[in-house]
Amino acid sequence: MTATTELTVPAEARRALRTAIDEDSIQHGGVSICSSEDGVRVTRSGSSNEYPNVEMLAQQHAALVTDWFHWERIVGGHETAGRTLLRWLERTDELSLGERYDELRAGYRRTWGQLSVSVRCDRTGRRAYELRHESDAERAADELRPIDPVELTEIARSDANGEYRPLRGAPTLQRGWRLAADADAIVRAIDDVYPASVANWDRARTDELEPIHFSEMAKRQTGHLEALTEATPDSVSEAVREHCQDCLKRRCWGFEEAGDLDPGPTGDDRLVCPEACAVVQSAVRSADGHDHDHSH
Amino acid sequence: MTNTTTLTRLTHSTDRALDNDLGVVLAAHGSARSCGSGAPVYEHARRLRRRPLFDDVRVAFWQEEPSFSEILGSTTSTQTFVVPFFVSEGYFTRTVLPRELTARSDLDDDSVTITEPVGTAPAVTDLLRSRATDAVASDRCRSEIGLAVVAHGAENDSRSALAAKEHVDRLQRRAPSLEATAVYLEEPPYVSEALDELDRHVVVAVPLFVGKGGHVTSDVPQLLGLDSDDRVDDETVAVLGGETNGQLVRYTDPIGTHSALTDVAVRRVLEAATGVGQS
Repeated sequence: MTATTELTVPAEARRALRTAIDEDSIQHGGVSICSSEDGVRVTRSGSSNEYPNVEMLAQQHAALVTDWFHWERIVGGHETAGRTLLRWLERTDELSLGERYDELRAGYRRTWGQLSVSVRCDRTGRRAYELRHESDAERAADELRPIDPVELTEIARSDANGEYRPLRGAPTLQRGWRLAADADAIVRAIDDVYPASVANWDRARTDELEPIHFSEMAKRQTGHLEALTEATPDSVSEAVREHCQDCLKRRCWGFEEAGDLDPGPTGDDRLVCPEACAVVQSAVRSADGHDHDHSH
Repeated sequence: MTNTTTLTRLTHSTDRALDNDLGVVLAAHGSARSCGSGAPVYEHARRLRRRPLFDDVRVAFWQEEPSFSEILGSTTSTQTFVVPFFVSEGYFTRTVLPRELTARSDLDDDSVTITEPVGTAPAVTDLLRSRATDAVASDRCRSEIGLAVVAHGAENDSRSALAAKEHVDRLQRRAPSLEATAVYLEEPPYVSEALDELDRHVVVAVPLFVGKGGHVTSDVPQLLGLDSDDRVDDETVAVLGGETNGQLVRYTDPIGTHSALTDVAVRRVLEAATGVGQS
């Protein structure tokens, strides 16, 4: 038996579908659903099937209806990077609906920096997401401490020894926890560990990410950071060697253009760094003799 | 793969998980060196996330991740309020924050509003006063309190010191029996003069700072003649204490750690949304 044949469509999904097609036809995954004189019509690749009502349709197309319900009524957020991330997680671009549901029942897992993000669905098509350290991916759930989503920023800000992690891309994420989450909480959680990473990834994959190179960033500074305009490619390279080499993010910025700093960019394809962070700025200032820890 | 059992949901007021109507960004200084600088801001964000007020609650920092310059590119709310977690109106709120917020995002004027900073809110005066009285154990001592509001100050920007002066003026109007003064790190009267400024048996120094960075944890106590061993453990909010020339000195955590500052942030959003209380 495949995952799609054992699916049941929950009443709230059937209700939502009925309300939606009363208003207008629905397009989802290459399928069109609309109300017809005899009930409900499903059209795929030019061929149509008629059903006397939504209940009968839901019985025959349980995966389609639960998938529509998930993306259009649970997730929403069209055009947002968060939605793109959740679709990437399920590989919606690569798999057919049937294949995807088979995989979803078993559970998918993908990595994001040092995170392992997983999604699975139950017999009603409801997704449950989970986040943990990638090195804990194979561990049994009861070996890991379940955490509340608001705890995650605390975990992300210090390493296993309690030392501050100003460089969030540092490969020192704490282990031993797991976060069970819904669609809302999982996107926020990923951003809590790797701030702005979801939006930057989405822009990078659609070529909309414009890096801000070091000299350009320095020019807009005032106050004690104005000294960054005196930095040279050598002093910036030194800060990059000292800090960026440890960072999992892929550096897209250069001194004046991409690739003009030694060492060149390394790092994760998913975590991108479009602009020098405060850690690098501070290191460049120190190297140039402006060592003032303005620590509020 | 293991089963996920409990689903935890943060508060969210729209029907769909990723459709955000109302967002808030708590924008603060932060530090690339000190964890304590941003910690209180995260605590306020956690408190807001547990309340059904905003669909999206973020933090952003000048000196740590996520930066001011990247935050708006990662928010999707229809309306976003940026609340400066700064103690005064000045260089950071007027120059750095607006410039950095727009450095990488086209700021849509209709969807993003920068509110007044939390630190200048009149309500903070009461928080300073409650911090001071909560820092001494006995009622007798409470009537003897001199309150030193410790602020950064900046010789090149008078607005930095102004916030502390305004709180002190308001304290003197609201609680005439409490002697209060503002002292500064970078302009006179200096922190080291606090005890001379206050002719009281008990002096409570409350930092008008958001974070627990180097100034608060090290510079100020040193200037007050306290060191990190002078911890007090008398169930008050005082963290350090000592005695100098017959004066009892109590030093508290910065005002940024006061839980009610979360409510002050909400108040700042309400003011910005309604136009009430705007200077």
